[in-house]
Amino acid sequence: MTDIVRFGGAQIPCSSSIDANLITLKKAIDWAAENDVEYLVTPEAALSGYSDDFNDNPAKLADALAEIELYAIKKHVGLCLGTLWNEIEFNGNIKRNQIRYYKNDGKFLGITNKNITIEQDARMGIVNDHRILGMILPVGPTSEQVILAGGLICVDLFGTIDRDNVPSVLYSMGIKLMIHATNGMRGEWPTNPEETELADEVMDHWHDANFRRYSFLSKVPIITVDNCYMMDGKEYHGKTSSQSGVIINGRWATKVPRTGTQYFYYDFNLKDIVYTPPINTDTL
Amino acid sequence: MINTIRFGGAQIPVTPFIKKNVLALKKAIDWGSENNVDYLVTPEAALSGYAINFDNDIGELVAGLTEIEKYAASKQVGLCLGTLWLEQDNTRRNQIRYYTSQGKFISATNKMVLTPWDNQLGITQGEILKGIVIPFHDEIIPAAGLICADLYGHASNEGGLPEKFFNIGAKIYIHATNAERNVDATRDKIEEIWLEANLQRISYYMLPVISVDNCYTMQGEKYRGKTATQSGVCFKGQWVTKVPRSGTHYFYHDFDIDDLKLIGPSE
Repeated sequence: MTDIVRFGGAQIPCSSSIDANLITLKKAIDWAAENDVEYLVTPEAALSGYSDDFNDNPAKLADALAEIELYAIKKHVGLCLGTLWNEIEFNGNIKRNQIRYYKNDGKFLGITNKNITIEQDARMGIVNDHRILGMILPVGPTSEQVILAGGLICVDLFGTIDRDNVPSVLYSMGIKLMIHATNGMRGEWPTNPEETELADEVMDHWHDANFRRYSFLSKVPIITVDNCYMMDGKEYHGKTSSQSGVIINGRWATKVPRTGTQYFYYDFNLKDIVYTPPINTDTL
Repeated sequence: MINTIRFGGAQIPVTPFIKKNVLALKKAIDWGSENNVDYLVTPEAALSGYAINFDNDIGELVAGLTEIEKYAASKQVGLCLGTLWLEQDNTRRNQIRYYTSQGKFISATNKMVLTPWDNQLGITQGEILKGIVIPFHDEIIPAAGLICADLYGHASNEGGLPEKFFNIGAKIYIHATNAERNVDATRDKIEEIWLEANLQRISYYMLPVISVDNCYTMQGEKYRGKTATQSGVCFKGQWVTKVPRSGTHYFYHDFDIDDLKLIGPSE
């Protein structure tokens, strides 16, 4: 029986080139393997890139996913992998912005889709998912313990109009960990550089304030990971849109510098986040 | 030709005692008059208090309102007056009541994103998205009245009121607030940062905000600590005027009419 579970985060470039993203993700998996990370969280759209042409070559994207899946198995690293994806669903083929979850033995655990899509998602044909679902992550060598986590993609955590508030719905389900894969706009808001600086600052404060408040009020830790390039995948050396790291009870327990590729991990006490089944009153 | 409109704010104590609140409001109106304020914004529930017994003596509340209406008209100060109110059909509302500087009642807007405390008070949620049209000389200003959590509501299931008002053509947010404070140091700090970040964000992406908080505790106890929210005017993500975070303070800001007025047919 294990006492801790190590989650890692990879603040990495999410470019518009799947080939480049493959190399980046493999490096991140190498780092995770070297550091005994059980689940590695990537930014939003880390495999596909967050670009209009992500779906020009679906076979290429599928091949890349298969390659990452095999690589993570080989390295014995579980994944919470952000990607855009053509999902085959009951109603047909739907473009989703999702997190795909894999155990470190390669078992595919499931997906959570972005609930609150933005203009850029809509332009790419991404459809928001009205279902707000938790994700069960087995931990430890025997998988006898599980974590009920919530997967949030970018604005899912910050909310918007006319939608359920995703963190509060997940909280009411009893999740014990929020996994936040993000790729917010940065460095490109208005055309004037001074305005861009102010816009980035306003959004940065707002993101940080939401991380602090949600983690404090819910007592549910958040692991959040941002892309270090521009949202659309252009090379960028400025600050990420939001802090990458782990925030617990309103305070950053670990965080990384705001520019460039950075990795981090955090050891959660399993007793704090493990799923405890409700008591079956029939047996009392 | 008049090119600016002066909105003022009164960060004042909101107590459970209507008589005390009337005195505080009259002083604020005096200040508004001396400073040529066109419309004075008060905190949430500034007249009634934000207290469980606000409608125990409805006669006192009505008399208090009448006194304030007359006083403001005599001083030629328009009002955006926060109060809890009992409507004729006995629904309890948390509202902002708007008056011209001649004392004409324009209308009221009701709080839409209710908090647990509103629920305890039996407040009924505002049902419809209702802006307010503020007359000023020959122009009219389409505004949105937001009461406390109305501004932050994207974090609730009823949320996004600032976006909705922006989409229907409001040009300024009038935010009367009275949030919880003095809970514990960490929570106060986290809430303060969050409230500030929200105000800055909506003022940057949408419209200027004039925000006014109570300087006592939410339920009206004497309090010398920091208000929950900064009182002042936030414009394009930055405070263009703001007051100290404790005690009674007044402020005003002159808005360019061209930035706020309704453009197009006013009928």
